[in-house]
Amino acid sequence: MEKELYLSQHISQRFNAELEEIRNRVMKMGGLVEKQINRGLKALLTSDSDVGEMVTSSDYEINALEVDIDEECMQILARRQPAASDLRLIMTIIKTITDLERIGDEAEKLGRYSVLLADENTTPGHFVELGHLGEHVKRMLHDALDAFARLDAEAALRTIGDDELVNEEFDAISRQLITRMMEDPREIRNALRISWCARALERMGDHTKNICEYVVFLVHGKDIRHTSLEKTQETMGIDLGD
Amino acid sequence: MNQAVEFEEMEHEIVGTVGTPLVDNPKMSTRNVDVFYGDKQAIFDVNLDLSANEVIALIGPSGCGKSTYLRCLNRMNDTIDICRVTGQLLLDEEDIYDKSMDPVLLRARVGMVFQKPNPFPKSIYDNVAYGPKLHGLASNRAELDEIVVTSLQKAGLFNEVKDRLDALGTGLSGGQQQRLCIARTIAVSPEVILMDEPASALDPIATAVIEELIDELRENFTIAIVTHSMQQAARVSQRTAYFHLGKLVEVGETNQIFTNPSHQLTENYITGRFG
Repeated sequence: MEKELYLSQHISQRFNAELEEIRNRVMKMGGLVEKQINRGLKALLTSDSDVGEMVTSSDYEINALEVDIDEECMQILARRQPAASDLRLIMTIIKTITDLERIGDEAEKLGRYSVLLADENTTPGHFVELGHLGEHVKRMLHDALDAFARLDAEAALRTIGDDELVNEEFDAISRQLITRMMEDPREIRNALRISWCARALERMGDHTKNICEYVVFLVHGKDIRHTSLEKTQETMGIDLGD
Repeated sequence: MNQAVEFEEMEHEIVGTVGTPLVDNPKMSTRNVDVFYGDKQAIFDVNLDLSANEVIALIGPSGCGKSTYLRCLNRMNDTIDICRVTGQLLLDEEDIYDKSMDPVLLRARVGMVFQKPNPFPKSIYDNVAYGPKLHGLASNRAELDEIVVTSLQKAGLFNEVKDRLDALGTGLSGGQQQRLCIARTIAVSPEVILMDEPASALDPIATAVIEELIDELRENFTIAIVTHSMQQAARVSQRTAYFHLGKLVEVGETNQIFTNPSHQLTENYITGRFG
């Protein structure tokens, strides 16, 4: 039978407050990660090494949040021994913050490479494809965090589907860059750096897909990792359309 | 507190029992069990099977009927004048409420361990030997000694008391007394052991010892345990049954009940949302 997922309304108001606080901190961490991605893309697309350096020097904030939230989760497990949906929430948070921290690391790479590319006076126009891929990834992460906040498993499943497009765009960029390197060996170094940026964005898509899988687990108690989207829809009786 | 009250007033339907209340080849089988205390109905139409060599935990808020139901399984409710039990309750397909069933013999086959340890005011030896003597299970002293020693060993108490079997049972610690009561129950070779909050009066170490013992006892007995501790139910049982206001709401594999229960009421109870 269908159950409602109430994350508040415990008899213990303090427990309600603890869970609310930890969810807010996850959203805060998500917001910081989104900001880092924005900065990283801006640094690349506008060849702004100052913004690039800001990205690399700000990564510590995300790392610190991961450590704090992990510690708080452990305290909740020890104090409250949560069960059912509360337990799934803590497990989801522990796994989500790991993926968010990794996305933050990938964003830091964007900042780092943007500084190197800006130093080489590379024409910003070469990064148009990266910009497109970046927007796609940003939207994916935003939708995933939104699905987590609203406990929307269907939205999470749709976002998982978007990762396919991210992978396809990454493949397309890789092919273009290979062509560029073959045409002019002097472009190899910068092309490689752009390729690593594209790879970083593709990895962000993978981590975001993980977060969506955790949201489905949180809402429905079903572990859909390593299962195709089609199979998941069939098992759960959900039709997302095409 | 207002939130909890509002929650209780919400209508949550209990239609039938969700999950797996029935099993193939049950050790004990109950159908359409109603229990009344005078005019007041305490248990409503419970259908539940106990599987052989399993530990099944009965959980639910205070007053939900889990202890009342447990006491039906060995007719302990017979001792309460105003209590009336209807329905079909079978032990290995024998009707335990049949007129031909001797309740004393039944309670040897379906033993009970209570919340407060209640050793007899006798020696440790005599506590364990009492049941076998009563039921004529030993034909001589040597056989009786064997039963006493084996039961104390199975209850994990023998090493602690082997040098003082003639000491008073009531002189033991709480945890030891409870294990003595378990040894006393085992001594008459039951098939089923009912435990009504067996560890709630014990400290954490004694509780852990009892839980370990329950796991070992499962090899030879079927065990039904009523507990207020969700974590204990999760640790010791293979199946868990959730009772609510006298109705059996959900039964399922313990792992599933505590990570993803099917019924809203079960979810609410085990996450501490009311009750």
